[in-house]
Amino acid sequence: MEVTEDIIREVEKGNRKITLDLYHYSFNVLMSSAVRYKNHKEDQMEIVNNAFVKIVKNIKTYRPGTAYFSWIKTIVKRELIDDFRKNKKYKELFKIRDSDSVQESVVEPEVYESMDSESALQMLNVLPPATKLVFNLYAIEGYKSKEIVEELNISYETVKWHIKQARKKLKSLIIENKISLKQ
Amino acid sequence: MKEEKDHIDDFFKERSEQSSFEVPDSFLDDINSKLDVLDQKKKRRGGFFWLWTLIPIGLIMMYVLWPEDIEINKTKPIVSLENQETNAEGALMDSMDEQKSESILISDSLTEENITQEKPLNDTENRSAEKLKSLKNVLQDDVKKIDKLADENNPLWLKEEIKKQEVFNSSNSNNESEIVPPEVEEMAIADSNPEKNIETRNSNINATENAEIEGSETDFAIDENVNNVVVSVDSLGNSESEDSIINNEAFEIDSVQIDSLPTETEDQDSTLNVEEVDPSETMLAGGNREKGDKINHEIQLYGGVLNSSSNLILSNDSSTFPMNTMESNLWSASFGVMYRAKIKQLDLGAGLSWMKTGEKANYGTNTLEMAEVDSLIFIGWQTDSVFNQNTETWSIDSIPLYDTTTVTTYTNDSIFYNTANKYTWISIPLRFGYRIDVNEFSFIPRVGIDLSFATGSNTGTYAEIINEGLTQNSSSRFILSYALQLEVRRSFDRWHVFVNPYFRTNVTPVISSAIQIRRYNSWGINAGIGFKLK
Repeated sequence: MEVTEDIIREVEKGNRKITLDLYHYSFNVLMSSAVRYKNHKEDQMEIVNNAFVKIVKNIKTYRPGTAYFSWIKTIVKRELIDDFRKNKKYKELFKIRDSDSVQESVVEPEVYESMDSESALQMLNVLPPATKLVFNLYAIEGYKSKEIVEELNISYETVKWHIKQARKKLKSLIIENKISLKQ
Repeated sequence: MKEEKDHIDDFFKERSEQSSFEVPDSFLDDINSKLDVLDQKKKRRGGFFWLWTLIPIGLIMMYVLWPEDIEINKTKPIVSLENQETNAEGALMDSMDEQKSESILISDSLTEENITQEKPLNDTENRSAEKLKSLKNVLQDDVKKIDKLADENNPLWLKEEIKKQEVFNSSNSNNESEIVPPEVEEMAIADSNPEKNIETRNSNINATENAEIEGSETDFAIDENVNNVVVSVDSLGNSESEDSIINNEAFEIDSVQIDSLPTETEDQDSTLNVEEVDPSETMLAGGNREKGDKINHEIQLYGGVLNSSSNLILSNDSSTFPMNTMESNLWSASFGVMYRAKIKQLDLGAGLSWMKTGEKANYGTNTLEMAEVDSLIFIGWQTDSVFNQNTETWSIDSIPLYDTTTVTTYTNDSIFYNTANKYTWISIPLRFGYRIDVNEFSFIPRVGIDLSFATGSNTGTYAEIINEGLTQNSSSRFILSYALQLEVRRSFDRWHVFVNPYFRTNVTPVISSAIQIRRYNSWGINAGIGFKLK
């Protein structure tokens, strides 16, 4: 399916069938973002469907021929960040806690090869929400530290600390996973 | 360590891209309900758009198509006894033979207006109407005869009355302090009080003519200004009473009232009953009454130019960029349509207009980019015991330990940006003014408000904060402005041309952010053409 001008026109008109086709077409991209940030199905649904409603509302701003998936990724990212910021006390989640510090581990490159995407997702979901958000934005979405500072209105040091924490935690999880696989 | 970091980041990125999902039914149900809500909102928004569009159009159409005859029907009967000459004629009418009175009585309440304006008549009614028409023609002939007779046989008392009135008029106009004869004074008092006037006239008439008439009397009063004749017929001993309105070719008869008096004692006090007479109108009997305080309806089409400048309030933050030093006024166009109503000298207007406001900007700003470089540093050795499974021996291995440090460097980039921030508005101007007419020219100072709605995205680019480059701000969707203007117009019958210099300023801000509150002041001039609707 390609998002053409005809499809845009039909979606604008409110053609439900075409709109649902577009939903199916976009679902994988939206959902893969949602599952990285939200653990519960209802939360994921809320993010995916709210993002899709925004896509429908703003479909006229999309220019056919340009990268549709990049465009909807941006929308779902914004939705996720907004959702996180809805929590008035969200800044407290970013507070650096010494007790959270995890021992640095070393993971050999070949270990990564043996792991599938589902395991990777499960590991991500183990991370605390704030750390997960920062790591997702930095490592997966490709945000710069400065952009995360602006988006989340937290300090540069906090961003760095969460990234570091996420890496440490994920490494330890990978090692644990490897050991459990061996056993 | 750096490589390892890259590995873990890449690993999760790759794995997240590999995942695939099926759409669960619960997701579909939820999105369907969300899309339903979205559709309803769209429809509601569409409804509001049409409502706001159709209301002004409907109002304009109502004024254009409002039938004049409705106003005529609403016109209240006017009784004017100011003209003694006319009253004299009326008095003469009273003294004429019974034939005419009877004709009027026969004509009853059926009138031409009734025939034409009321619901369709049946055959019997049609016949009656025709009968009435023929009777009316007879009556008109009689009226003409009466006029003729009146001219030929002016009785003495009538001449005296006319003479008195002339004396009274001249004394009124020339010297108010002059001594007025008691009879004339009485008339003057009567003039100032229309009701009393009516009674006085009637009592005079009754005193003179009742004996002759014995049964009916007719009072005609011709209002010179409106060319209307008001006829009142008081029939005596007649048990039924009805109103009749008779139209004449030469002059229009607004109302004829036939009052039946139940007893003969009331015969001496025949008063002219006029329902719902507006005192303000009857009081005008002695003065120069401009015909009707009618509302003049006009439509104007106009276009023009305006020059808008920013009225900027900046926050006290030291990092705020002094934007206003790099901005200049913007020239833009405006056009619109206005409906105007003139009530006496007051001028009221409402319309629809399109305009742009904004500013030109030539920003020279900068961005301070922060760049991070992660570097590895050797921090020591870690010794560890390693069990070799092949040789089944333990050996001590030394592992180098590294850590990362992040070096932050700043890059200052200059940005030069030349732009014009334009905001487009659809406005509903509401105006109130006072019209000063000088021959064919009119000068109309006005005040008013504009209710403006943003069209399109209406975004502007601004250098708000030092070191932060440029930011984009969207305007408010609705703003309120006030306006002062002076219209100068030249009229040509129903048409007129005009120029209209004005000043307009926003009451509510166009741009409102943490850094700036921006309003616009505009000077402009419109020129256009207008025409009276009626």
